[in-house]
Amino acid sequence: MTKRKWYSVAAGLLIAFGCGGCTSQQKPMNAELYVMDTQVTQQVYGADAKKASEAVNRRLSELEQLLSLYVESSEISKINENAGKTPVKVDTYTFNLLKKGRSFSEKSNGLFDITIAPLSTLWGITSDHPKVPSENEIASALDHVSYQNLILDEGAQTAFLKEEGMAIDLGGIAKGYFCEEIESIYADYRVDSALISIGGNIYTYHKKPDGSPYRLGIRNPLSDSANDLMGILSSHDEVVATTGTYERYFVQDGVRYHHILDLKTGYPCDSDLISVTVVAKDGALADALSTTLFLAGKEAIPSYINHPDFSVIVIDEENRVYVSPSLADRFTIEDDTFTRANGFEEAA
Amino acid sequence: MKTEQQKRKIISKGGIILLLLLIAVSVLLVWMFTPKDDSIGVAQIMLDGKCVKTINLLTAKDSTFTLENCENVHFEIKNHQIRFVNVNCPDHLCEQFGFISHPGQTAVCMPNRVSVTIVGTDAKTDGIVN
Repeated sequence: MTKRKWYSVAAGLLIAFGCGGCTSQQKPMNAELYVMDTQVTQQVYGADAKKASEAVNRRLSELEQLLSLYVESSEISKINENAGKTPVKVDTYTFNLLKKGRSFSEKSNGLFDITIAPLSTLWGITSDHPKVPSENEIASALDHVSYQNLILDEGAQTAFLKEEGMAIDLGGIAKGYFCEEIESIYADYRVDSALISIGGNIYTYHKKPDGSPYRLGIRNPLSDSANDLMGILSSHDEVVATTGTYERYFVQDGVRYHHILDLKTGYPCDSDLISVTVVAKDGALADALSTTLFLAGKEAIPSYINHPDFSVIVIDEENRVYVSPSLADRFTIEDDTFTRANGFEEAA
Repeated sequence: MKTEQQKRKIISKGGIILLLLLIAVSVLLVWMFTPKDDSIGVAQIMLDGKCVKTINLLTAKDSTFTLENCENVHFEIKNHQIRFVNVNCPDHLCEQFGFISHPGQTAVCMPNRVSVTIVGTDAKTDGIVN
C-alpha cells in the first residue's frame, strides 16, 4: 500500500468514527421573554439569529410599555384615564392597532369588543385575585362596554372613549398583531427561518432550514397538561392561534370560571365548542377570530369553514373535529378520542 | 542526526494500523456503553429568559431541587422525568403540566418566570399552539 493510500484509510476512519455524529443541521438560537403577562419563546435560524431575537425581544418590551392596560404610563392607560374627559394623541402604531381592533369589533356582531376592559378587570381572571362579581357589578360593567363609543380621529391621530368608566383591553388582538412587526424584524436581519410563540399563538417565518414545514402540535382541550396534543399541523409563513376554556380559569365554590367572557351575559361563555384554532396570514385576525368563533358556537361553523382569508380546526363537545378543506392534507389527528366530522352539515 | 529512512521507522505501517484500530475500538466501546434513548431528552431550565441549569434526564438520578436565585420553585426528577413541585405561586398551573421527558415538551411558571423545556433530537413537534 502506498503512503497516499494509508492517508486515505486514516482519513476514512477518522471521518467514520470521529465525525460520525456530526450533522449539517443548523442549530437555532433560542430566546425567552416574559411580556404582557405571557411567555414569548423564539427559535431563530440565520447568521444574525441572536441579534434578530434580541431585536424582537426589545421591540416587544417597547410595545408592552406602549399598549399594556397594566402599565400606568402606557398610551392605553392614558386613553382609559381620560375616558369621558379628553382625546389622547397616540403613536401611529397604537392608532393603527386601535383602528383594526375597532373594525374587528364592528364586524363581529358584538362578540368581540376591544372596550371589554371594565368587564375583564371586574372578573380579574388573569389576575392574582379573580372573583365572581355580583349581578349588579356585571350589569354596571356591561353598560361601559361599547366599541361604538371609541372615537378615533385619523387627522389628529387621537383616541377618545366617550364615557367615563370605559376602558380598552387589547389582550384579544395585540399578540397576533405583533407578528407583522416581528416579520419585518426577521426580514431586516435576513433570518433564514424562525418560530415564535407569543402566549401560545405561533408565528412561523419561512420553512425550516431543511426545507420542511414546521410541525405544530394543537393542544388537547380535554387535558390539563399543555403537552398533550390532539393533532399536528404542518405550517409555515402564517399565524396559528387557539382558544379553549383550559387556558385561564379559576374555581370558586366548586364551579370553574374560564376567561372567555360573553358580552351578552357578562359571564364566562357557555359554548358548545371546546377548542377553536384559526390559521391565517394576518396575525391579528387569527388572534381575534379564535375567541370570536369560540363564542359564536357550533352553528356558525358552515358560515366560515371555507373562508378565503383564514382556515380553522374546530372541536365540538362531542370531540368531533371540523377542519377547513385548505388544511385537510396538512393536519392529522393524533389522539383517538377525537374524530374528524364527516361534513360541515353536522354542525348546522 | 537521523536519516529520512530512520524517521519513517518511528511509526511503522503495522503501528499505524494498530493505532487506528485502537481508536476505532475505543470510539465503538464508548458509543456502545453510552445510554441511548432518543425519546428522553435534556431538561433546559430557564429563569427570566436565561438558561440556569441543564439536566440530562437519561442519566439523572431521582431527586428534588430548587434554583439558586428562585427558591419559590422546586423541581422533582423521577424515573427520568421532571416536573414542577411545591411552587410558591398564585395559580399552580405550572404543577398541572405534570412530568415531562420527551423532546419538545415544556412547562412554565409564569408568576416566577421559570420554564423547563426538553430538548433533543426526537421532538414530535416544533412547538405547541395553546
